[in-house]
Amino acid sequence: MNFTESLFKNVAALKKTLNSDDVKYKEIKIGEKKGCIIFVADLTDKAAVGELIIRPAASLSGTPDETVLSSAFLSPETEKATTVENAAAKIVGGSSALLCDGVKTALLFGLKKFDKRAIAEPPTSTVIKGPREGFVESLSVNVSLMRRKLVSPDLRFKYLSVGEFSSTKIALCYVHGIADEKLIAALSEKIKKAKIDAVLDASYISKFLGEHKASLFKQIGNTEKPDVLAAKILEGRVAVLVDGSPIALTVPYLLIEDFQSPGDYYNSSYSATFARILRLLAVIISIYLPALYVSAQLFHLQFIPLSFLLTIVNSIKGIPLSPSFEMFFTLLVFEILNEASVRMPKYVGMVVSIVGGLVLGETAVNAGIISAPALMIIALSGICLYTVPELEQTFSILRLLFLVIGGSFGAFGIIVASGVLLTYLVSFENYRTPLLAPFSPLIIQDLKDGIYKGFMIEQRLRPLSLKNANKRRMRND
Amino acid sequence: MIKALKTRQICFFYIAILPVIKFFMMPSLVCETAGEDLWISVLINCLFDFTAIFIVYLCLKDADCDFFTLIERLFGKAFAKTVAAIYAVFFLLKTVMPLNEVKDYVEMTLYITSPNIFTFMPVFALVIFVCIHHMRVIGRIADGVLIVALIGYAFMFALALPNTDFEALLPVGARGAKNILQGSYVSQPWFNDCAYFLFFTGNHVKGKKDGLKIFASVAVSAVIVIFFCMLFYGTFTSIAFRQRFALTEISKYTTVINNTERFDYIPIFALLFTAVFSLALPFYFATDLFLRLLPVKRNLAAIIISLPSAILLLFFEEYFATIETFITQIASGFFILFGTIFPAVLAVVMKIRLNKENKLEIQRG
Repeated sequence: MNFTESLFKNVAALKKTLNSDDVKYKEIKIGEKKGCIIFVADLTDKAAVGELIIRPAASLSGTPDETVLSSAFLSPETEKATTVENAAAKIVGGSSALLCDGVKTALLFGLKKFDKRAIAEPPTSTVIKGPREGFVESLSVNVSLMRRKLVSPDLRFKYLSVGEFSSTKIALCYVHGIADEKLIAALSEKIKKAKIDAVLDASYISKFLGEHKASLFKQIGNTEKPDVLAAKILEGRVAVLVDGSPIALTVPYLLIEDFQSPGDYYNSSYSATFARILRLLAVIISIYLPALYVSAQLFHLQFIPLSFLLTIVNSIKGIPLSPSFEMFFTLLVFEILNEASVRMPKYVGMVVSIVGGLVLGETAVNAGIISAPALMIIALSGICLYTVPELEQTFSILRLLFLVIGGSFGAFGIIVASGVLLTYLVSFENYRTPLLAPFSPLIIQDLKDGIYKGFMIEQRLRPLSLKNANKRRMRND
Repeated sequence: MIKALKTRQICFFYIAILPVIKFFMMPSLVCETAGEDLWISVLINCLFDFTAIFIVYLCLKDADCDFFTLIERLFGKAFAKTVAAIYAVFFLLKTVMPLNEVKDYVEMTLYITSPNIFTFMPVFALVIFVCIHHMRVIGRIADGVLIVALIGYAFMFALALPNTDFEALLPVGARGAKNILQGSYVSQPWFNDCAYFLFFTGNHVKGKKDGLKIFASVAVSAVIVIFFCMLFYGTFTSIAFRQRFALTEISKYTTVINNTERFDYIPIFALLFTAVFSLALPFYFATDLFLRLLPVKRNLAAIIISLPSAILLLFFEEYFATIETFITQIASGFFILFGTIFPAVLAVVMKIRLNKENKLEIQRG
């Protein structure tokens, strides 16, 4: 519905659309004309409204027309709306609207003010060395953090809005000249096509960006740290920042990304390489150890060293459960404890850890329900999984699958399952980027920042695994 | 046309995936006739393969499509379909021995008690899963498997080497030409690797010194197999022909291993992991050829192609000795003909035709 020249009718139409108690309507004088300011009380900087709109409005004389009004106010962010719906959408988004008698448009002023969480170190990626700031829920703060990291006109933001009820602001963030334009266009298209009630977190959008809807593996990268995001977009990735979420999504995603910790880039190459090897080994142990232990007990006793075999024999004496069920049961208890400790308040979480980890575990062993080696293997596997926390959920499902296969088919089943997994992973592509690059397909240049972390000075080129427009990142010899 | 493979991936395919399947039953089978000269029998097969690949590569290196597509272009659909059908059978026959020997190997050496046949059946899940993918994935599998295979070779050879008596291989040629050639003949089902190359030629991104890289990788592949055979005979000498599962037997007698601490299973698992892909690939190529014959969905073709082998494995296990005799004695001629001779001859004919076509095009301006 278009605004008319009648202030009364316009206000009435807005009141009908914005029928909520937190929307305030303040009548003011604009020269000799009547006007009305409409805003949401808890989203607006009222002092700024007084200083930048009401005061200049009162100082006007005569009967100002639309042209005079456009330049009369001091607010730096001003726009116009000609329809009631458009104005209403902006008002609930935090803008203040000014209606004036005899004027067919509403002036909208960006004078938002609401509480934001302070910038803090993200709990999901803490570092010993390196920047500690993390993204917050406010998109504008996150954009400012990125602008501070990359002071370049080539750092570009493209704004989109998604969510029928949330109208969530989404920013595509990339470095012009490095990011692939086709990728930016594809992402914009996918985001525009996302018809959803509300985008309450970045993870909502990530479901629309992935090309394989039913994949067990992650398809979109994410980070909470501006320094990591800056590094990623400088490699040619495109970031998606979502208002209301402290998590920035990055596309395309490579599996190796989650084996690379931000700290690796602030430490020496040697320690970073060692840490990455440890992470890889830990993941392999965590997925395969329970399955191999069960299959060795059931089918291949010859794999187990004699002394360890005797220990196992002594510990499983009198255990009522079969090896595979014992392991499955212990894993299930571990997963329940894990789930409970994440959901519970911190102080109760501690109790759950103590009761679950120590009391329950020891009592179960003493009571002869499960064996000590099984408990130890699950504990080790559980700890190992957290060396790559981003992939914890995926790997815990894989661990369970491998356990079932190991218990049913033995080592050969595990080998075949590994073959299927490898085939799946090598065939997996997202935005024309293979998930397993740079290992398969092998891209030797990119191995300098794979499991081996090369010296910074060696990495003259941006990753060839990604389709970036500009390959060279270092020009010194 | 976007090429499915990189030259590097073809090389890795020859080095990592193909040699492993020759580590199970083949050495003992060759030993039955060739004895200490088994490596010469293997060398002869490798030389045949190398020559065939050499000829096919030189003749078709400028082709922009694979061997079978080129046949259709040059000789028409009917001939192309006939060749595709023959090679589909070729690849299916090529899977029989490896499938059975790996199944026996898994049953007899990997498990303390003889497991149900269904323990082995998941391999068909992998076979079908590999078959439904694009050729690009085969190259990537080769990339992914290389490191595992290299670790497997290195460990296996290092464990076997201390127990190997290389003097047992002397005197060279003691068994006589007839026995050596007989050894070559019975091991045909495991060789004829030129047949794989027919899918690769014209289907890879061309680069510098491609030919050299491919020939070097085929040579490395041959060296790995020959060296394994030497180690095998050097370890077991006169009783080598009884050791049906060379892969497990060869490292068993390392002094640091006793019956309950078989850490040599680590390289064995690594090589077995590679071997399952080696098993799956003939099915892949058979599926590819089947699709040239019948326009069905790839998933369905993969199932149809795998089905006879699964049935053979499930219901005709007791006839394995007969099947083995058929494959190694009778079908070996078929393998030589279509694995080595036919591709080489046809490649030469194709080259002549292509040259003629080029000359005609030049004349037409």
